[in-house]
Amino acid sequence: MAKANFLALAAMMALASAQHAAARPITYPDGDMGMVEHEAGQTRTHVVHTFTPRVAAGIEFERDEDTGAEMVSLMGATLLARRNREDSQANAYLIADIGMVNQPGEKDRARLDLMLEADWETRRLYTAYRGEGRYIDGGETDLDHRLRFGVAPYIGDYGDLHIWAILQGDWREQGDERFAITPVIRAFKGRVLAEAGAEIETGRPFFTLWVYF
Amino acid sequence: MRSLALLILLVTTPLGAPAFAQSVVAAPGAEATDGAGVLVRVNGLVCDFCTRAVEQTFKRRPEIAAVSVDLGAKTVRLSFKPGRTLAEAKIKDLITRSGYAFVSMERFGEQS
Repeated sequence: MAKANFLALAAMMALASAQHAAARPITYPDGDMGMVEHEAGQTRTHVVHTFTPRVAAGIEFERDEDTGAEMVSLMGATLLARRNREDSQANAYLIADIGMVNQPGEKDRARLDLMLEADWETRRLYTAYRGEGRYIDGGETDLDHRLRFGVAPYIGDYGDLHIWAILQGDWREQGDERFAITPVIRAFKGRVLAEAGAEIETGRPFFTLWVYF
Repeated sequence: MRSLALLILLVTTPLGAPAFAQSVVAAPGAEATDGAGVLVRVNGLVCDFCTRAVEQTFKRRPEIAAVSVDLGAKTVRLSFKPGRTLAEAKIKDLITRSGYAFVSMERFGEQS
């Protein structure tokens, strides 16, 4: 039964790949990146090393403030496709996390996360999709989707402070807030990228911080 | 909304750090030079943050004195250290490994 659930999850992720998505887990060979993401009461911290132009791996720590659950996992990412055009770039990534979840009052359980991310951007426009499926030992599954649309109010040169206004929509299979709209401001300069926003309905904060080493 | 404003302030403040204010980056131990080099035309150069991959890749090469990127012109300018150069095939390979598409290149200055 658990295997059937996993196959169903994989099939849904494959279907999701026909749409679009967000994030660049692969940098450049021998490049390192640190990321902190906080959303919907969950904080994820990753450290990722890129081995080849298409493969990166790292470790991740996740904590859920609502339940107290913590997860330590190994993460692998592969660049499925990239299309470079004169004025645009499009990417598709597959990311897998496998680790152990520790939740107070429960026994430790294995968890597998599969994420499909895709993005397309020009210097003015940005759109992205992320589909994330989870399988937890015992048969529990979960599937989230995120769509993003962004626009740069001005076009900066290399080395300038770049600002993006992004509208983010989330659909979550589990949890109290199934749908969430989050306006996000993205800013980056040099090797540091930060995003901040808050869900319109709940006011819950959202932020990310990425640093290339 | 107050928490949103505070978050935006928190995350954008460190971005103004002068350590990241350079658009022309000299490789470690090298001075930027107006000597020989190449101007490489590249497809996919749309994001400053992601383009750091190109900069970091070339900065590690012993032949390179300085790297500068022009997102508007879609070019990467590589300045060589005196007496050093890189073959076109190697430049193309490094651009590709950085995740971008090499289009063309032209050399400038007196090449060794």
